[in-house]
Amino acid sequence: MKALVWHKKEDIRYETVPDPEIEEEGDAIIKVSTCAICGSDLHLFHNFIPAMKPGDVVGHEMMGEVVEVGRGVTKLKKGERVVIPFTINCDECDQCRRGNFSLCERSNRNKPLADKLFGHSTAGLFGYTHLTGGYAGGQAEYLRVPFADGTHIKVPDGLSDEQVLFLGDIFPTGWQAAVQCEIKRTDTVAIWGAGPVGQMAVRSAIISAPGRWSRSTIFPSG
Amino acid sequence: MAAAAGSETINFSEESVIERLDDLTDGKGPDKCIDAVGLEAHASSHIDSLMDRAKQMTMMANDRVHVLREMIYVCRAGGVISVPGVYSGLVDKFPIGMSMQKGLTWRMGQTHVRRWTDDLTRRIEEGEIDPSFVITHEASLAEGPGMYRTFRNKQDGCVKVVLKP
Repeated sequence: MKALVWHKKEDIRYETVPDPEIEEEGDAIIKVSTCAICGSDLHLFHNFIPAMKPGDVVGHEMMGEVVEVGRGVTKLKKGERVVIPFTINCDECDQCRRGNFSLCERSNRNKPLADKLFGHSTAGLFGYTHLTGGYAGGQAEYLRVPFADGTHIKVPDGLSDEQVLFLGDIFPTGWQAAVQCEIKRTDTVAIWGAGPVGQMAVRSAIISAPGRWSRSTIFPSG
Repeated sequence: MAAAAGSETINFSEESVIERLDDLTDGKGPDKCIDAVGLEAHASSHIDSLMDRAKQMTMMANDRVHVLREMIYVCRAGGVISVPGVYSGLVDKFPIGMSMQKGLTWRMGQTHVRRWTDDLTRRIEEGEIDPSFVITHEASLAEGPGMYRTFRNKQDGCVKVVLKP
């Protein structure tokens, strides 16, 4: 298949790589219909994130159609349309059960390395550093989704790819940033950065704030 | 794009962020501050940002934290600092004393995506928000490498790129 492949600083290439295959019984394979470039992909592009390796397939905002499921997958069927969250979730560990999905204790296959560096590991993440599992990303024709039962968002009929794609990262990221502020009616909220997450945060602050709240400021990052 | 949502906008390269925020809040400072920038802050006219950049280049520090310093300084005492921006490692000259004395609450982390997505999917279905507003560029996957540069350079008003494999 074709994919965007990281080689070194400012060197991401469109190349042919092996098609992903079912490796564990909980895996699914997605045929990617739409994907996006995230601001945090630029941190990889600029080589500011340690533990990338030449040949890594990048991308963590993607959606598409399920084309294959492993024997252990019970919640997904071939042909279903899904957005894939950038965080890989087992749905069974203590952190997943607490709703702390970005801290899944089972999905980072390089957990010992991350534990050593950060004290405790994050979840496995798609298309990012080997500290977060080194999973191939979704700027590609196909994507292997580990722990597929917990790592998908089903798309309701009638919504376009463009309407739902950002459920996988930047919309909930802006949303969580706003919700964690616990905005009160008289608050002023200032947002640094007018990129995609900043834009989602502005709207999330407006939608999630108590009635009649209307103040927000934003600081473009130029 | 942000102004279209009904917010005031501040351009840090043309005006003082701290003065404008003071003006907008009658000197109180914003109650809640969100860092949607992360480790590659570009406020290069500030001395602390130049020092961060030098340390980053010489591997003496991982992150450029001008935005976090500015938020700690300007945030109203008792306020909240919320950090969706990505940071990776160690930093220097971090005003932890200022943050402690002002009683600031820190919230940060990678996003717990699925904690929010049932609710957000419903909001999209009901038409409360259409996140596609942010898309400025669409291209094929083959054009992806070039689009990384377009996005990085904010060429042609680029805010968000989607790719079709």
